[in-house]
Amino acid sequence: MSDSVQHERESLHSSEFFSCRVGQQWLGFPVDQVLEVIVQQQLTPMPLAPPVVLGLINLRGRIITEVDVRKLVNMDENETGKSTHVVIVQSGQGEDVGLLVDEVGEVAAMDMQHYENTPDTLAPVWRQIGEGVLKSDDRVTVIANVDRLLALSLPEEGTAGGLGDATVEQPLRH
Amino acid sequence: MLDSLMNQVGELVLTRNRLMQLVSGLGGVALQDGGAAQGTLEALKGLVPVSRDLNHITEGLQDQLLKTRMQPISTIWGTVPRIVRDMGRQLNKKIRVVTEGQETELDRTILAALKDPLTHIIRNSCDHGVEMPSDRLANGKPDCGTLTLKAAQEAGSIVILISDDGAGIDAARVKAKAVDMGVISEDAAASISDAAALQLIFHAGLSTAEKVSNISGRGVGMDVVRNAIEKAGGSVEIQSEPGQGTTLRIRIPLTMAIISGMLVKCADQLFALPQMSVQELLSADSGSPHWCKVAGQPFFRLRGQLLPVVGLRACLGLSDDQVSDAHGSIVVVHAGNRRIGLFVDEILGAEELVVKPLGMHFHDAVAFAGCSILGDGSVVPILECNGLIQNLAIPAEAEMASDIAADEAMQDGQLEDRQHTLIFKSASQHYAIPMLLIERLEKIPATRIEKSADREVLQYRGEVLPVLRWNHILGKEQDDVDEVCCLILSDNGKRMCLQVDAVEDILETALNIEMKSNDALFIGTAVLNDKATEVVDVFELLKLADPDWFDSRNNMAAEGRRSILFAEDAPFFRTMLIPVLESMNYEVWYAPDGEAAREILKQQIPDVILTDLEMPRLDGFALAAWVKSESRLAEVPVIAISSSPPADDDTQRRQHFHAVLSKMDRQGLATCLGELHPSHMDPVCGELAARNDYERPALVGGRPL
Repeated sequence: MSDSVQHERESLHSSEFFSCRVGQQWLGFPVDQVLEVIVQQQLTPMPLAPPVVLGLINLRGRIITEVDVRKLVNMDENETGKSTHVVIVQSGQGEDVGLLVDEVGEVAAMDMQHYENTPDTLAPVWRQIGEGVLKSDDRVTVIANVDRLLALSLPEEGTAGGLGDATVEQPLRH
Repeated sequence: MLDSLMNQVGELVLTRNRLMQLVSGLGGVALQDGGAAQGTLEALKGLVPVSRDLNHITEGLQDQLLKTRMQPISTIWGTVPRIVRDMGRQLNKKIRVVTEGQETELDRTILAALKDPLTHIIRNSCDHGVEMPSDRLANGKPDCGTLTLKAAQEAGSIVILISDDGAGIDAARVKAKAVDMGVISEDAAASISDAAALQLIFHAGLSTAEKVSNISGRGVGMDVVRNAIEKAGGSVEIQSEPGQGTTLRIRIPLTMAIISGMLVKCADQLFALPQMSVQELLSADSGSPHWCKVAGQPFFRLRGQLLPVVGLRACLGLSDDQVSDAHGSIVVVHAGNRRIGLFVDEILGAEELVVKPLGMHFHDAVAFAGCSILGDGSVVPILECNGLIQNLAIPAEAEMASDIAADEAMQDGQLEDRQHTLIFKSASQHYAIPMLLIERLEKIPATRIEKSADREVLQYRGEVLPVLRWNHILGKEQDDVDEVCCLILSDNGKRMCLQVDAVEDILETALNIEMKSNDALFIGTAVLNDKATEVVDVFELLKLADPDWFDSRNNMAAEGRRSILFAEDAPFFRTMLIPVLESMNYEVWYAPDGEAAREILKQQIPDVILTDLEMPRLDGFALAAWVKSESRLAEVPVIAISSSPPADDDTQRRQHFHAVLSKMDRQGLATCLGELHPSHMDPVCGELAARNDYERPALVGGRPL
């Protein structure tokens, strides 16, 4: 856990985002929903789980479900080596979930001047999880809504099963 | 706050487990490494007591914290009088509520899980149980019905009884309905008993209510009740007597935060099964002649019954390997009303597990009850047997009925007096002990048996059990060995540990006592496997471990219990018969002679009197004559027991007695009491008691494993 990044979670109004890369795409999560980043550790696969669920990890006594973001956004298997970074995010309902990504970036301020709504040209899955995009010189970062991303990872029948609506309509404050 | 504290302690428990594992591992390494520096060895030895202390402290902390999570059951019973009052008004019925054991405490998560099923049951009782006041009066009952709620603690569980004194459930109608619905076949319906038929109520979609009201339809939703209770790790059964009322008996664990689980391996992954649903473990090699196939489904022949076997791999979708041609073991689990064999690659053993919930991705995963962290830090999923089986398409209904029928057959004694008997050995002599009360066999390091004051104890699953060493009982020295063999006996909510040298065998056999024994500890000698074997009287053994074993019969059974006045001067027969009577669910009032019995009778009226004939001060004949002369006692039947009963035709001396029996005739006594109070006895105990006699002893008062 040498590269673990702990954040102050008091700042409710997140004007900062944490970026990470999945495939060729950069994703940004509101900083107040990112708890820490860990390196991939011993994983217990869960039978009968949705395919995007990699399994369970033991994070200092807490059990956390790990989701493969690459699979979630319908990307192919890893092109260069193995993904090793797990971003621990907190859902609107207070549950922590691990997201397996290819690379972690940095914490950056949200520059509203370069912020735009999610363009229609993006693939549907990105439009579904994106709040908007942030354009900078070298890349376009999709600012993701954690709860919508997680809702997408739930088993299909499961979305109706009680966790549904509240999680989806969680507005992101800029 | 409490939850986070609980989590912290959970982690402490896990760290403790890890340390214990390391320390025990170190001991082995140090022994192998004979050349290790003496200092290192000493340091290691020092570690052992420290880790043991940590173990004790952790356990204490865990216990205390669990207690803080406890809340009295009155927190969910508080609303019952209002529900009942409202319903009474709506239905024009008069119902009063009686509660007992309000202060009984349960873990709050379990309380929360119980709330809905309880409400449902209570509504059912009000709506369909209690009759209209006019009907009640016509049937000679008070116009006001009574709903009784009782709760009491029994070992690690809470038992909740909800009874009404209403119309009861007609088993014949349940059967007819079940056949109608295709739940069971007509043949099966004919062969199952009323008690078993009543359990069909818990089957989905079974309602015997003529009209389904908006309040409840008895039967509809009872499957939901059962599922909810089983999900909380409990069980529920129903007893009913037409015209007398209905009782639901719910048994639920005290806490779900920490459970004891059985670790199994399947497709190189570990899984835990809650010990509560594990009935037994079988070794099942591919070559075993016990395997057979019926209609393409694998079965395992187990004691004359076919046990359906499913592969855990298939249940979990790990692979669709055929189970019957692999190596492995079978875990016999209880799921719903069924017994089923789960085929696994390997059974690793039991472990205390801190249950942690699964995340949102598993909210609909019925196959899992949660997960836990093992000593090495890895995560293990905890399986939920009911849900696991649901995933499979097994023709459940037909099978359930056949299972019930098979169980009945067992109880009806079609397998005669055969029972499972464990043979153990001590100094070349063989001893037999019926399996009925043996909960588990354990091989444990000798050091785990600890000295406490003047006795030895074993810490076992959070309980401290008294330990008896068989060699000590026989007055022999116990050899020093590293590992000892322990039988864990359980009855009446208590447990004890019997340490023996070696377990030889488990046989299914009829115990034919060839020679009776003078030693109270033995029933006599039987020939098993061509060897003379002493048959141990388990009740004596339990009393050796705890002289009060049978005195504190659970208060729970007081429900609907009848009383028996037992006058007997000989301590031998007193100790022999009281457990028998109690096992038949009688409250025993004991009098050492006729005069003492008369004193009791002046105060109270028992349901039946059992008296010895020859006693000091006032003998049985005089006692019976006095009873019959008292008008308020004249209706109470008097049963005499005697070592030398008067001749059958001696009507003069038999005139006041309902029956005269030999003191040795336990079976006669059971039959006689059974005739007096049919359906009073707990069906299982009753059957066992009825099958029991002194020549061919079975066990009385136990429950099947």
